[in-house]
Amino acid sequence: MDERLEHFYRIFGTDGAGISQVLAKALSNGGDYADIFFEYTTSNMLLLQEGEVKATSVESIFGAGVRVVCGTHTGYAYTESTALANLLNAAKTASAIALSFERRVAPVPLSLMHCRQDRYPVVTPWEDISVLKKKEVLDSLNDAVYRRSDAIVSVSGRITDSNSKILFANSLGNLYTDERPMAELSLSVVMARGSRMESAYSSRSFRMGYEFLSAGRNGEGDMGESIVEEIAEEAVNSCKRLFEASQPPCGEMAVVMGSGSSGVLLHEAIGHTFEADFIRKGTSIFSDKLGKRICREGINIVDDGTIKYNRGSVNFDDEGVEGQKTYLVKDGILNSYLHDRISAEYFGTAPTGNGRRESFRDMPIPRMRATYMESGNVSQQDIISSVSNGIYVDELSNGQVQIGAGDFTFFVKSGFLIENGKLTRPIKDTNIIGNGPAALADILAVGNNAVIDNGTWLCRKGQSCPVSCGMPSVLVKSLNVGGIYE
Amino acid sequence: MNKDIANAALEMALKAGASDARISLFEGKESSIEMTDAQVENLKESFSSSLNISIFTEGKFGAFYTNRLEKEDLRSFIDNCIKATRLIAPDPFRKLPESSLYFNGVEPDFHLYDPCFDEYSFGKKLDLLKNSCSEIDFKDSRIITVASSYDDSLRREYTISSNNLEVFEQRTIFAISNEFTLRDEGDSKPQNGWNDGAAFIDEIPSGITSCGFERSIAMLGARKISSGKYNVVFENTVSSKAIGAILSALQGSSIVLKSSFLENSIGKQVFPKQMTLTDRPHVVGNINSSCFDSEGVATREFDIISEGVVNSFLLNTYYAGKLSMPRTISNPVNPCLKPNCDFGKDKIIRQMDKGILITAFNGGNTNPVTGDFSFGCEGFYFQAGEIQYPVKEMNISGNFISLWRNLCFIGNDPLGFMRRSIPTLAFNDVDISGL
Repeated sequence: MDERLEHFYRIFGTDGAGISQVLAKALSNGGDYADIFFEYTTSNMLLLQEGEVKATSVESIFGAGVRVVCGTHTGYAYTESTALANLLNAAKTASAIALSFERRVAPVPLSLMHCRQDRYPVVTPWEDISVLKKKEVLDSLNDAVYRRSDAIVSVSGRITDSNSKILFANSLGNLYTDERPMAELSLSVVMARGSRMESAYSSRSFRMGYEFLSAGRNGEGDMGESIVEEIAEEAVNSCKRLFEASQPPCGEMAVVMGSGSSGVLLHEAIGHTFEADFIRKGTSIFSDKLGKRICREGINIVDDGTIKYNRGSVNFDDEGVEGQKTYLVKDGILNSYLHDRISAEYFGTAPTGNGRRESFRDMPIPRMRATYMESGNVSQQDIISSVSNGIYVDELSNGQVQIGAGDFTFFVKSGFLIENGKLTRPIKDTNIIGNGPAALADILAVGNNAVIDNGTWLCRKGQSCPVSCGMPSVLVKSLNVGGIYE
Repeated sequence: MNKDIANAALEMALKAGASDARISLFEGKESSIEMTDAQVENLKESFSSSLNISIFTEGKFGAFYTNRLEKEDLRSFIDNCIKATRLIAPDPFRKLPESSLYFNGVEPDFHLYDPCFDEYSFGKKLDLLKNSCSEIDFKDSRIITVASSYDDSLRREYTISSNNLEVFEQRTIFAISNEFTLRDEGDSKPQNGWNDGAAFIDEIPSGITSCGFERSIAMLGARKISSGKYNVVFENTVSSKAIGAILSALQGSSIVLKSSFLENSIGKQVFPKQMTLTDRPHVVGNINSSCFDSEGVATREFDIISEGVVNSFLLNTYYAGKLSMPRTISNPVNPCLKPNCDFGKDKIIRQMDKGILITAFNGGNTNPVTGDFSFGCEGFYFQAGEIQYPVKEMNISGNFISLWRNLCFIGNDPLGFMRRSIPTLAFNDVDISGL
């Protein structure tokens, strides 16, 4: 038997025969499909405040969830004990969904799947790294901040590492194991100038082991670039700029989205409205737009689960589909929605590997991975020069969308006014609203500088999932900018 | 609930070298039924139990969570936690509360626990949801789809500590919610809905689905509005937005990290005289009511802000020690605003004459250091004290201190089934960004 599979069987106290028994029980009342998702996650966090690491936390989460699917109907139950009796009980509970259905299938014998390419190989596992070593990272982060300015008032840093051991099987005979590492380093600084205070935040996250700390901005292993120095530089510079900034004048105006974190626009305006559970129910504003032009030629938008070390990457999704790269928009045409198994079956298409869940306590649903726009052919400078009156935004945080109406928002931490083709006064703290289809159609220029933002992005859709987003510089003709009425 | 698990964990922690420890054992049961267009789509049932473990050793502190409660798993988990805690820096302010502060009486009946929770059948729950759905005609041509759900939960929490804390609490919640997706102009499919519930299954109010439908229909044809300064009314469904940032700025962690626009506010008249914000933790029937906080300390009624003057920060034992200030509570149980009038939303709109009623927020954020905010919102334009038409795609922006200085009304109509029960609020001269 596969050594790694045997190891996972030992962790969860199960084996192939037990899993097959649970899947058979799950389908005993009927149904089209059943799966079981075992998870054992440990995560460790150290917190730096007031110059010292004075708090630590550890979380340990263990259990398994059983799902039964009949068409678009789902029964779900989970147990925190993976003893066979408890798994069978969960299977029996989940099977209740099938009581009024006549369709019956028998589980296919299990066959171990191997991932063609491990998207997050670990060199040095976090469990080999002592608390003292991690503490040194936060101490050096503190030093890196104070070295950059004498206006620092407070520094708060956090290093988190986690590892999830996943064992999955379904009634189609798919069986896989996966180890999903995650590393996060984040920093908040508060600075003072006279009586005025400002704060800024920066973070980095990759699916990596301890080598994360020298991964650089893109996580491509360009050793030597220190994440500690990078995020210290970003947070301090960002905070300095805020002292010159104020809220912008309000109203509808042209918006130049800077490269990187502007990808939150794609996440909100497109990503969520392309999730095929909303499409299936007819609740998305893009429900009937497959194959239709939704923006200019040359624009390509991708949701990608295959980027090495990316926070949103998956070897397999949480229902046994291998991670893949999905073109949502190809050359301006709506090319694909984001499918889990249920929506793919409903539409008679292949799942796109987007069935994800927060933990074994949740059933999988269509979720994004890394959502970004590919580069165009215009320089950022040319884009800014083409705007007579508008704003340029380059640091964004949270966003939200109304799936049916298509209205999306994102919050801008900082940017600049654009006056007569030039960046002028710094701006900050403004919420921007647009309508997804209108904003897409209003993209007038796409820069040649696509960047993925590798911050600690978390997508909430009833349950949380790590994601990332990216964008080249883009000019949107008109969006509603919150600010001061002048 | 097997309280022996918590007692065993406490014993293990002290044996392994903790000088003090606090253990909270949680047990939860949940079930949910989701329907699409009155047909069952998803069923979910779960039972969970877990431990939160706070370790104090050699003047150092760690907080830990596990749901692996078998004795041997727990022992090795706690050993590792203590080892990890020993490697960080000491902090003299990390300690358990004085035992004299603990709640040690018998909790009064807040009417928040339905002892029959386990007896309710799937059929009864499904009937409740179906009955709610029957309040409206699903064949209405404006409806694209309706998502409805029934959710219930039972939560038990038993907390003990090495300095004689022992408290127990159990709560049940039963709720029905809905979301309507409707046909509107062009491709737009606006979504709105409603949710309500109670601590007892038989007290779930009727009219939840019809309320969701009416609120959804009312937003059809929403239009954009011109940018300008407006009178703004925050409906009692969303008015907690106006105090959320204030409570966050008053928290000990924000003050210590100097990440608060209210850092130097104690004793100062920061807000208008009409504003008094009180924590009322012992209101019978309020779903948040509790006799003790997350450290087991007895809760009490106190003014957070009194006639506009900031009385106290929100401090647990740790932050009270660091700031050398009296301990209060880190999260108010049931923050209440004293009304400055004897009426609610409808009359407030009449009194304000002309402006915008906000019924939903869409994204946005607050700068914690300056109090500047910007939020997306939607609602209704009103004139001559009457609702005229729905409005959308607006941003409301400003600063929380300035906003409250423009306070006009604090209504007398807080809703019950809310995390924070804040009444309708009205402000003048607020920046709204639109066309």
